Amino acid sequence: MLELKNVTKKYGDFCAVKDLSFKVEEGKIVGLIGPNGAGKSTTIRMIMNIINPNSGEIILDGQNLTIQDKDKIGYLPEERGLYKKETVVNMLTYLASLKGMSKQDINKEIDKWLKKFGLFEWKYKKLENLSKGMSQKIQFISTILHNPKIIFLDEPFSGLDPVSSDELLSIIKELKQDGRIILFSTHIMETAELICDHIVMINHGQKILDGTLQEIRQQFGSNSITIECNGQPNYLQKIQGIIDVKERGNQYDITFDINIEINDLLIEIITKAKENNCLINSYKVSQPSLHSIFVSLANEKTIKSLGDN
Amino acid sequence: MNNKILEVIKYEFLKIVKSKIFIIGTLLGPILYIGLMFVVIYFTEKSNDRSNDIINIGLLSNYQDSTTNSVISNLKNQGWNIVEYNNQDSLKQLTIRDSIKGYIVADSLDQYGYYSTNLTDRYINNTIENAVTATVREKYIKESGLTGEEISKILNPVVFQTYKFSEEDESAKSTDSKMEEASNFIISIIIAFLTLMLVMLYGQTIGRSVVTDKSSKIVDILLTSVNTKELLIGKIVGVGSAGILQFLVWVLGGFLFAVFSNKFSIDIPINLNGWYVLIIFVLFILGFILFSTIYAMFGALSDTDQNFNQISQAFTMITVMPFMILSPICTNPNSMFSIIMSEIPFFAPCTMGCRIVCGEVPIGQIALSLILLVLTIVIVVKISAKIFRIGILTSGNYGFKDLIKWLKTKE
Repeated sequence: MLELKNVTKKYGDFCAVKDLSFKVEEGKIVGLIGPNGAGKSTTIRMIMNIINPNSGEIILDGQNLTIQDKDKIGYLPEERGLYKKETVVNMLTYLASLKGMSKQDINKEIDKWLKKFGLFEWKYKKLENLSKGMSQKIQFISTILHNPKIIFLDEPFSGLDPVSSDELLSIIKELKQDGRIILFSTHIMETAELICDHIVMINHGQKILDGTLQEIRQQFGSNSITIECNGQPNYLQKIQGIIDVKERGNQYDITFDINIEINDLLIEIITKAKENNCLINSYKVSQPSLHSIFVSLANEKTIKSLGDN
Repeated sequence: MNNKILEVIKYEFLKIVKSKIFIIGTLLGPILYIGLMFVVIYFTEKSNDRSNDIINIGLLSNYQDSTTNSVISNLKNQGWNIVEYNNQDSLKQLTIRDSIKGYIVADSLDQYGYYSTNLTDRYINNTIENAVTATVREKYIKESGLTGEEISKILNPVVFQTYKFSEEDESAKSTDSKMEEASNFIISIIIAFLTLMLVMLYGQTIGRSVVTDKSSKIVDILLTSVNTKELLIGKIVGVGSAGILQFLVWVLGGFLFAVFSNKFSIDIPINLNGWYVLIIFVLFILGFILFSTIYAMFGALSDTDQNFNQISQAFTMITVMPFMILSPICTNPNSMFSIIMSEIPFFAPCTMGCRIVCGEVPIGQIALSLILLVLTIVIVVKISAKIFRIGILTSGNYGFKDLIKWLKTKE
């Protein structure tokens, strides 16, 4: 298990990460999400042992993470980087040899993974000759070639077509079943919902969300109702407790104050509909999406921090 | 040294050594230089030895004297054709039509002139001047009534020979001082040129390699395997080894050339013993470490190659400065100026090497320059490593204040 305990990192007076704690268990995928400049990169670099925290601990299997643990880490950065003038085999060999792998194992693993991704015939080609998607796959292979215990994937699906995305997804699931510790970072919340077992959201260097998707949804409650009706439900705006109404054809997404009792609100909506000769065909109490939670939390924190300043 | 540094060294070394540019540069470099030197030597020899050239010259004598005939016969003895005319215009026309190179006008016994459309051929000018001077001098001496023996004593040059000895070898050896001065100067230039060129070339290669790591974003991946110090050392030693390999190949090429040129009886006196060669090599290595560390730091501060060029430009000017002060150092290797210049750590790899080639340098001065160089390297490496550590992970423009902040940051 990988555990961050009260980790803080400062750059001069600026606090990039503040008192951050979370856990990632084997065989679980944890999504590390947050807006740009939230402190994700600094957190990643601390886990990757590229920079050291000012305080707090990063613990792997009960022991503090050390330089020796670098070989157990595989990192796929958001901004992909490989030497374009290098051949696929040389690039993969160099990165794997830096992880302490033997020449023999490297050759075996390179062949295995290139075949798995259908890139074997590109083994001796220069990376600059590969398409963007192919390069992405090579980058992914370089991340997992040395059999790392901790795998950090930052936007692994960007630049991939749907077929390649599915291919990659199934391999990530295989790695999960194999008991790897997988950290996943993305700005696309739908992807995070699809893949992650657990979500940690940070903003302004602090953790603002930590839990399974179910827990998070419950935590944020069902403050959203979708109704389908004939006629213009202009009266909705006047009902006390309704914060926002979004129109999608004859469907209306209604966001309401979390403190309002949902049954009372439904009665009020139906009563007003009848008064206004508006026919409600259906209604659905909807779960908040991770996207909407992200947006509301990011905004809330930004506003709060601006207020603090 | 741990395995990871070795892997970085191996990769960086092979990346350069396997490149076509390196192979061509290493092999063709010395061939090109040696070829160029042969061409220079060939043409210098050829221009010096023009005894077989047939040169057509006109002559117009405005007074009647046997001296003019003596001048003509002196020049004819050297294989020249002399055409006599009484009319200067005809000679002018012949010169313009290129039938003759030019013409001599004898106005009086003490007054001669040479007219031509081209006066840059020093061989012609000197030969005429010598012929005229010798003939007129001989006429005056003969008229003074001296005996033939006395005349030859006056006209024969004095034997003047230079002898060189040193503390180690006190037996004075006769030398050709002009030849030695010239060859020392050439060797100094070659050493300075090789040192500067390789230090700059490979220093900048390291800087650019850091920029590539940064701009291609591979640095984050590399740093999940090695730390910044290992990466910095690996790059400097890896790229540096390729530079040293090239240096050695070129020096070997130069050595073969020296052996080869002796076969062609081109005498190149070399004022170097084994210790001096070793010191020059050590100076090269130290210079390389100093400059490449600084270039690596510049690389860490740059996001693009263009950015790197801008940042390193001013420093490159300092790097090439020793080349401009080479001449006064070679002429007077033990002057105060030369001593100071060879003790400044950034110049020492070049300037001390030149002083060693051109004259005896007290061992204390060599030791001091090596100590100063090593101390500077220690300080520069400490500063560069700190800036490299942070710079390589950040992007954007940095001010002096940022760098100071980085230097104060604890690891």
